[in-house]
Amino acid sequence: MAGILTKLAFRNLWRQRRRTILTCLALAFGIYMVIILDSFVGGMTEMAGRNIVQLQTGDVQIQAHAYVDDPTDRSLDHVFAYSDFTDDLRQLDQVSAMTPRLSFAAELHNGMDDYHVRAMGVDPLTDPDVFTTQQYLAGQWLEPGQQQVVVGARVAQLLDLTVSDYVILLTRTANNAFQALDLEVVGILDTPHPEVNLAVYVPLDMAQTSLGLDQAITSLHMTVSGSAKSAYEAISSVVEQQNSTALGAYTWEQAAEDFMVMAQSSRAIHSMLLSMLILIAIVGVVNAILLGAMERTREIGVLKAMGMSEREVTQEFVTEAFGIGFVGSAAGVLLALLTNWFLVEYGINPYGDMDLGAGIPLRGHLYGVWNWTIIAGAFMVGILASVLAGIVPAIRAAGKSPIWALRQ
Amino acid sequence: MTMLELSNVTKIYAQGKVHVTALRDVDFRVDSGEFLSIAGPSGSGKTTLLNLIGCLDVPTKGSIVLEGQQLAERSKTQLAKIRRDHLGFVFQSYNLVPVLTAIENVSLPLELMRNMTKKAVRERAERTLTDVGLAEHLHHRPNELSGGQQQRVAIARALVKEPSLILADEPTANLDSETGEAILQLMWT
Ligand SMILES: Nc1ncnc2c1ncn2[C@@H]1O[C@H](COP(=O)(O)OP(=O)(O)OP(=O)(O)O)[C@@H](O)[C@H]1O
Ligand SMILES: [Mg+2]
Repeated sequence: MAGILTKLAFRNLWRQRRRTILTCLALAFGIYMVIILDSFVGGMTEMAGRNIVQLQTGDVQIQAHAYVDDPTDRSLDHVFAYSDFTDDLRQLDQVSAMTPRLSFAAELHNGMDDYHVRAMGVDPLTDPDVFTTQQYLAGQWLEPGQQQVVVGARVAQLLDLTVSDYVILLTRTANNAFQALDLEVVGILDTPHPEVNLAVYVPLDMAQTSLGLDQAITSLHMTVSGSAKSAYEAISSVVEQQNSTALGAYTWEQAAEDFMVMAQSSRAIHSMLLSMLILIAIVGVVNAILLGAMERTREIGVLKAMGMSEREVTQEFVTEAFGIGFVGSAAGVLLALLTNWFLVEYGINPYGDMDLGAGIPLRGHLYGVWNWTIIAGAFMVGILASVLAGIVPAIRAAGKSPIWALRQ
Repeated sequence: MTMLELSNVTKIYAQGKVHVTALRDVDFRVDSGEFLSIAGPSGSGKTTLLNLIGCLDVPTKGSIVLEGQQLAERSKTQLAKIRRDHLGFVFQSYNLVPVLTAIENVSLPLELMRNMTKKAVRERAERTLTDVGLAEHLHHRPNELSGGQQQRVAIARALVKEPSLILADEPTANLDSETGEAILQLMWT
């Protein structure tokens, strides 16, 4: 009966409980790391994605291909007049909000020091419809037409600025002439997106006038409702109807391509690390079965002399491997669930106030995510890997000759 | 009725270049119900002979017929089945399964046969252990039993499935003479 084999398997696991527990712990550790690291990567990706959408791109943006192809291009060579689009876009049900931005390179002076910044002309009235920037604002938001600036927290720190200070923003106009703007700092932005904290925001109309650009902008950002794909396609066709081959619609993923590549490669590194951990666990199972079979050579001989078939002996040892796999995986999953609950509810702050740099849109509290596919998958892989790892040593154990095993 | 017949059984162990002839041209017959002792000095081939009859090893030459079945040319699995259904072993060093209690050890051969209910297995095992005088020790593990008690469990384990043939290799060698006598007495009955 299968019952007796299971009984033997679990009694033998218990007999070698120290080894069993250690092997289970190794496996549990592997499983635990898979789940927790995945939760971190998931949380990081989700947070970075949210930061990009809410502070940098919106759901979909219209922009010159040239700026996307070369993200370091800060020239005004590819600006466009967006009034051509607005009526058509407003007619799309999918577009729920829309705001223009004008990005340009500038130097910010406080009278002593200066700092290169990305300056952004924003429409003070519609920008909050698409972006959540104002949530992170200390001081006042911009007013249209005013000589005002909202500076990122990092810029404020570097140039020692506080609200109501005056600064000079030095830039070049569309005709490449120098232009110096006297601006009052009305607000400071401390966001979870490091790049935003290195930027400064000015009223769009004031920027356009000062740069000699009339109505031109560098990007038009939209919030969409319903299916992101159909919204993106509808916006794309509006852009195509305008026959402006230089422009294109980009989803936030496309606009932030560098980041997505990074997120994916860090995922690949993790899965490699994790396969190695699982491998260590498999080594544990093989070790446990081989040692068990060696110590029980005589017992195996007795069982075979009593008529137990090689299949049944194999089955007994594979059941032990399953036991280790099940207990180890369950323990790993349980510990991971507890830890991850904490990560999802309270998060941790792994970087402190330090910026990661390299434009990684992450800062501040990091939260985990629940990825049930990975949790269930890790549990199943843990059991399956253990059982598979147990098969070969189990067959070897069952093949031992009973005469040799029983020699006195 | 002839239960076991050996003809011209020879066993040669080959160890590298050295060949040890453990048995040479052994012939004999055993009828069912017979009690047969094989005696000989150490190294004379007693264990070798029992291994051959017990389907644990195959002869170099000659034939063994057990209950009308020619043992040569049987697969490992078929030999395991013959051992399971027709043979009982008692070893010199008891060889009980240490993780099982006395009654579980005795139940094991019946459970391997898979043709009895749990209850029937239990009853038969309990009865057999009672027969060898161990009614008080059903739930003891081997390490909680004396050598003589362990050997009685081993005998019960061999007897419980009422096999055609019980093979006992020096079953009293590890016991004092008095306990040994009692064990032999048990096997007679
Ligand atoms: N697996 C083996 N390989 C090589 N030689 C063996 C093997 N088994 C037994 N022999 C040899 O065969 C001969 C018979 O051994 P066997 O164990 O059958 O003797 P025995 O009569 O049972 O002895 P004892 O009374 O000491 O148990 C011995 O010379 C032994 O060295
Ligand atoms: Mg011997």
